[in-house]
Amino acid sequence: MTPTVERPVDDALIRRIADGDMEALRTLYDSVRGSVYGFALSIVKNAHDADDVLQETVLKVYANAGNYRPQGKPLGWIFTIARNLAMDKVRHNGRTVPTDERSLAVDLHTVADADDRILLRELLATLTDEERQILILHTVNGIKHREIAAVLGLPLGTVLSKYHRAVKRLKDTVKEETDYDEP
Amino acid sequence: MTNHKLDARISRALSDLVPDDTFDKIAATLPTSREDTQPITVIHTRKPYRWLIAAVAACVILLGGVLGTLAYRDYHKVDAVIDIDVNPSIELKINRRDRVLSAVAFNEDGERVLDGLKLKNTALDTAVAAIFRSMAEKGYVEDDSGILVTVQNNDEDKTADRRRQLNTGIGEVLAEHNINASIVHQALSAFAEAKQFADKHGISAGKAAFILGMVELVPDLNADKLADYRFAALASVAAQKGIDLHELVDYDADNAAWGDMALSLEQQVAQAEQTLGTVLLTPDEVKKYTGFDEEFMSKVVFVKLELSWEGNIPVYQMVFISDEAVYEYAINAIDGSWMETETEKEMNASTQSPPQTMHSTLPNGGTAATSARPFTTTTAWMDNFIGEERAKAIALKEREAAGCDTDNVRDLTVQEYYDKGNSVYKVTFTIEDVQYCHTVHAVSGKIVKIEKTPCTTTTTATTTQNRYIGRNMAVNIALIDADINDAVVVSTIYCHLHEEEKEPYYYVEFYTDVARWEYRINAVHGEILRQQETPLTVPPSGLE
Repeated sequence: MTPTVERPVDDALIRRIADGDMEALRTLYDSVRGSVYGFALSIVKNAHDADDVLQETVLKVYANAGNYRPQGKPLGWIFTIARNLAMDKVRHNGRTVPTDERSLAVDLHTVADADDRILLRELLATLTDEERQILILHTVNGIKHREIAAVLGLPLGTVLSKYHRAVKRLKDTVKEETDYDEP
Repeated sequence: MTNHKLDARISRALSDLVPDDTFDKIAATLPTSREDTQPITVIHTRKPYRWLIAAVAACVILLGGVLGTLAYRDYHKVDAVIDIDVNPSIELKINRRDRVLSAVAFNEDGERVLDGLKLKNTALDTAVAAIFRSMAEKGYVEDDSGILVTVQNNDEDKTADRRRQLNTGIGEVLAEHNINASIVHQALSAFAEAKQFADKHGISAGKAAFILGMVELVPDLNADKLADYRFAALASVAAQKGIDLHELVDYDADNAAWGDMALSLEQQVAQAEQTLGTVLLTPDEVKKYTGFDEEFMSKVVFVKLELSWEGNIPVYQMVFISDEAVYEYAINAIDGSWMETETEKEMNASTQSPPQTMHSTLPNGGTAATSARPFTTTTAWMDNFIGEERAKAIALKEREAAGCDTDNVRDLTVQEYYDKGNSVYKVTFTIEDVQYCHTVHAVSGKIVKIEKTPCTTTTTATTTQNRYIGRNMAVNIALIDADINDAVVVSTIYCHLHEEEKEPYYYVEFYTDVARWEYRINAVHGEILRQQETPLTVPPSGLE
């Protein structure tokens, strides 16, 4: 598996993509693929559609990079695109916008680390959709709580409080499973 | 596990879920170069044997003449009129195949938006996308803009389909331009009066209908003056006058209206819980107390969900609509009982006995219970705290009762903290070789948690927390910097410690009647790291 990239996504990267720089597009993809996929998965509820949304998001970013107005918030822009595409996918499949389903059945065998599998299983099974989405967006290097709030259409305070509740619940659940406590 | 490590692990795990060939599929779909994405200009060339082609064409025209006439009439028949009002005001007439028959601007800004656009005979979604791209590029649509979309058509199903189509199309264009604006819809099946008003003022029928709807609800509004207002300003006036926009339009939302309302209540509910020292029923839980089953409640449309106070009792005010009736409930947010209508009863704070439940039955079988006062946020949450000295006393008394020698307490400190939605005091002290940390609820004084740590173990985290300035200090720093004196009413103070950051800070947010303030304050030194003042939307002046 290609390792995730620590370099944050910024306006300069989007400008390079607008100029047709494929390496920049690959950098963007590597930076956000997991979180866009996970975010989409929490909306569309199946792996196949989540993969479609990931592809369409990257393609849409490539196609519209020239229209992007540099405001220092490229990640908010990207995830808003992903969210709209995921919502469209749900509507296209004839479903209403999905109500909360705590459990997401996903095949986790591709996750290399056993403890990561437990973590992901609990993330997908234990949290509400919103908590899951907030937590997944929070993993994106460089995204701010304010951008998360804007993407999800939630008040900032709500994002903050839900994030902390979700983290606490996830940590407690994982701790029970793995029976250790990292510092 | 630190939050940072948690983030990294989740990110790694999610990346492992993504199929290996996803980027290959993306790359295969991309054009080989950026030039390939430029529009291709079709060049029509003269063909040889023009005379033959012309003759054939003439025959086709003759043959198609009769059919063509019928098709022409059908094609050009107006099936719906769509008005788009931001400040530019534009009207599209479309046929039943959703093809644009005409695009008209009602004001100069609308003309500027349409300038250069060839919309006739284009598909509706293409035309709307082009209009909004033009608006975005010319700066007419930006964050927090209000967009009113009016569909005039007698077919409700078609109206609903077109609305969805428009939402999607507009939403995509706005997202491309990183704009967060609200889209509000209204459907008109009869608009003669609105048309007359619209013609008089040179505005769209949709905007006219909206204004006339407002004036019908609040007669002292001046419709002629409102005709000059942007839609966002109209919505602002409506809010100021207490007009529920649901009485005029349907909200566009990716989320259900219920979801938006419930989420907007979260902070209010959290504050109420702090003030009372008790957990309230969530809005979802309260639904059950209406007496209707889950299936019924899943089909109703909520138009109102607010938290108000009846004396000392927090009350959910709910209004929802089914196919048959409008239902109004005022439900006790603590125990789910129905609140009394019209009669005010003072609550005995010590007994907290619930009022008698009363409700009236609507002629159509629905039930109604009403009692509404707007919920006002205050700074009382801070006034209700027990104070640091009291928190210390509670903690030491607990240890004394447990048999500890409280005469030889060392390193006694107390820190105000915000933990899991509650304000608490953390009282730490050492007795003999054990360090204790008591978490005391800031309002009720209950001991929430007791932690004991042998003194040989490192207590870096506790030591670190003791170095923090505390929430009260952080809030005071923010208020002083914002030059907020006692005469200014401050509402909804929110303060949260971010310890997971490299440089721990307090995030402080509060509102005055004209602005929202946000601060980041270094948790150790009290230095202001970031400050932002955002003016609240103020209704335009001159409204009589």
